[in-house]
Amino acid sequence: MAHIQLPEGLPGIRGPMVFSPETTKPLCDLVQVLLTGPHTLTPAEREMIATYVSSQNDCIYCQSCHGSTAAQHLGGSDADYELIAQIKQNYDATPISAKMKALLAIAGKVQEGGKHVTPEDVERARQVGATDKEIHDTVLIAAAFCMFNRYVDGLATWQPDDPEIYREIGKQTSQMGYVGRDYKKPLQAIADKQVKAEV
Amino acid sequence: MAHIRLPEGVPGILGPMAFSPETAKPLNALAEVLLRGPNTLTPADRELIATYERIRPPRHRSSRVRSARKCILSAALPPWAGTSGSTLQRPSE
Repeated sequence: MAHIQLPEGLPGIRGPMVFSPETTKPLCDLVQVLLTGPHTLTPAEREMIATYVSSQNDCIYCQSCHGSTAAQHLGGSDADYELIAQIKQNYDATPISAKMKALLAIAGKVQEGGKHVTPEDVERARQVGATDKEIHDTVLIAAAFCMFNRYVDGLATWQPDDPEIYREIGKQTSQMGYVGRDYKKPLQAIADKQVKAEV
Repeated sequence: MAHIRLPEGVPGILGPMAFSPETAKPLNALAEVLLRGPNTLTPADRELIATYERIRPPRHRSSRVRSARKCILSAALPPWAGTSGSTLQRPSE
């Protein structure tokens, strides 16, 4: 049960977002710019950074939503979902680019604490082609997701474990982005589950 | 030296914010709502929450600025300021 009275049936961050629309707006604007705006990193690559940091923070909801969104951006096949699962486990052993590996290493350091990022981490990223903008945005995505993860877990929000729910969220988010959405709207996968439970 | 090339002479988060105005906008909007918008907690109380990390003396710019701002809001000198005069003194570290 959540630590405060949140709207029922809304998973993860959606409960607090509907509870507090005045903070939701800048939060959605931020994530929209970071993850979907014009960029030299693809939306899938930026979602991978968000997913990896969320998994390091052990936030089930965030890593599942953003992992699913990353997989959907890649095409949405089982192999895409498997790649995201492997990135969370050991990104060095996956076929992602050397630049993405170096940026994920920086993101992982930010998750441990900002001062853990070393000049060597940054130099390694530069050596494989990362720009200042990509390094800046990697640090900010990692920092922002530490905030989102703590927001979701610090209020003990409801975090379902049904992969179908996250598949639906990933599909919606990859198509619609983060801004101008009705987060109050119930998810079909949750409604289906409730119907099954009642039968 | 910063890890990336940031505008010179601009301290703390102001450097990255000048580097990246498109992300600075929602970040500032969030801070504005959280710390200054209508609330049952005073702006000073909310800045105190933002200031507090652990029980240790403020060492970094953001905590020092917030600490100073909170003290100004509550009409007191920050704990690291000199106690004898009205001018804020740099902490001796």
